[in-house]
Amino acid sequence: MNVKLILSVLLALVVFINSAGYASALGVTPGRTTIDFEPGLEKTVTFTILNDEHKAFNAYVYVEGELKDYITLDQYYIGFEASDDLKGFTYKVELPERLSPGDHWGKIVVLEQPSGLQDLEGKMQVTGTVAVVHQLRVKVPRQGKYAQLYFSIQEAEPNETVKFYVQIDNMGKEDIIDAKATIEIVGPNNERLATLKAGSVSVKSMEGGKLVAYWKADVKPGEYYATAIVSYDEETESLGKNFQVGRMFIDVLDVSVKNFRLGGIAKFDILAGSMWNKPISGVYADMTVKDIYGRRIANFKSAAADIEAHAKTDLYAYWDTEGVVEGNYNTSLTLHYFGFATEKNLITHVSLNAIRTEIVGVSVGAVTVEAPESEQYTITLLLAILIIIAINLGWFLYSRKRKG
Amino acid sequence: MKMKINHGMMLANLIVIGLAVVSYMNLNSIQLLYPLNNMVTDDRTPTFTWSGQRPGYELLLDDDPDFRSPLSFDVAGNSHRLQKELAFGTYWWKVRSGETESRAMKLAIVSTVALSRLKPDMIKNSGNTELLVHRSSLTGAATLAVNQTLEIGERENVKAEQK
Repeated sequence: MNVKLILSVLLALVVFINSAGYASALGVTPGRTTIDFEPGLEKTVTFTILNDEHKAFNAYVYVEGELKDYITLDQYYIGFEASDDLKGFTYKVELPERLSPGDHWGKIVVLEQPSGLQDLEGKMQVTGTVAVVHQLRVKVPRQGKYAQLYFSIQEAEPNETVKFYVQIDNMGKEDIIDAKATIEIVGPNNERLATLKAGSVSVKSMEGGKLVAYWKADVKPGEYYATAIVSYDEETESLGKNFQVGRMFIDVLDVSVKNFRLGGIAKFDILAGSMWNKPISGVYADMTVKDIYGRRIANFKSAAADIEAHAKTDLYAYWDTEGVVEGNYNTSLTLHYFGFATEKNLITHVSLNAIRTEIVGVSVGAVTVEAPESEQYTITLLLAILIIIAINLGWFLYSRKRKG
Repeated sequence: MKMKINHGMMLANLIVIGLAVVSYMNLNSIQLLYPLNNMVTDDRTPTFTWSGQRPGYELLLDDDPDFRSPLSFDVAGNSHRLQKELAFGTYWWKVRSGETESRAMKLAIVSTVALSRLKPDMIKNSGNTELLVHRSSLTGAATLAVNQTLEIGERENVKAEQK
């Protein structure tokens, strides 16, 4: 009986220890290695196997994919101790003389060896395995001209410069003589705002080129859309992308309370104004009232509301003033919207028949005026000259005194 | 007339001039501190740090060592963390302020394919790139965003690769 009990406890412990060992992370970095095809190319590639959770385990490594016959592994099993963060892994690639145009893949699979464990009844419990893959991509040029295009945008604040980048990777066997891009920018109502020329570039086979266009964003904050129309020799392609100018912002324009009697419910009317060019949903206000000693008196929230582009809306928040005495209270008001927040500090003057609020402390940071860099250099130089003069003068006076 | 050389005086003058020159050079130079040159990282929004005494800098980042079309950021301090993720690849970065410019340093951002088995029936993409997850119980593959979790069978085998 006792033996059975002890065994059960031991088995339970085994299961517990193994379950506690979950949250294991197996990884490889980089996840992909890309090489350009060359007939008969021989290359050694290294990647790293990660043991982020510091677990002791064995990894089984094997190859799959269409390039598997051209890949030779150095080893097939790797043992990890709990103290191992990572281990390097090397394999050899020997490419054939020919491969068809396009991308070809080989996959080196790192499989965490499953550890069987017994449950309370002594039966073997089988868990699933986890494997991660390091990909080998071999790029073979396509016939003729073939470009892979990527469009990216560096966003900016209003009146600053937005930059548009078009990356052209020539995956064809022939050079691209003349690649050009035009960027069209439209607003939220599809109105055309600008058409920009991004210049032209020639791109050699299996190389890349980049085109850039600049736009001064003299528009209101908001979301805009850009289309890059790329033509290279006789081909044309277009790519589109959303981008933002400035950041989403809703301001608190006014806070008022009407028809109030102390001890009753105060209805705060918070007027919020959107500076964004698209509707924002789920906007709500959160208010915290504190007394002059900083003690929290109340916290209350408004219901959520939607606000249209560049529009104003009222949010209502209710404060039960039972037990509240007349006086001034510091109140923090926060508007929450789309993961952003606007914070305002208010002074709330509570009297018998009215609540008056005053928006204060608009968070303007202290402005530090630093001397311009040229001024700093001049100061250093002047200081050095003054020290030299002082030393020389001191020495001169000292020698005169000594002679005298 | 023979001039008498005072060695002490000369040394004092030289020290002051030397200090002024060093101080001027320190004020004038920009040293890139981090990421280190030729560093390989899987952090897609790295923080760039440099030394210097100036009030403002321009951080330049490009996948072209000649910086023909760089991303540029106006920075008030001595470091800047990117807000948007960089694509995997090799980059060069440098910092300038007025006429002074640092040397360029190289940085490679690589993908990490990592899968955590949080519980016997749950996996998580703990790498830095979107994954294709192949499950033994299903044909085809599911896409798993960074930090996203997926419920699976306790005895199910899973294999993840970069999408």
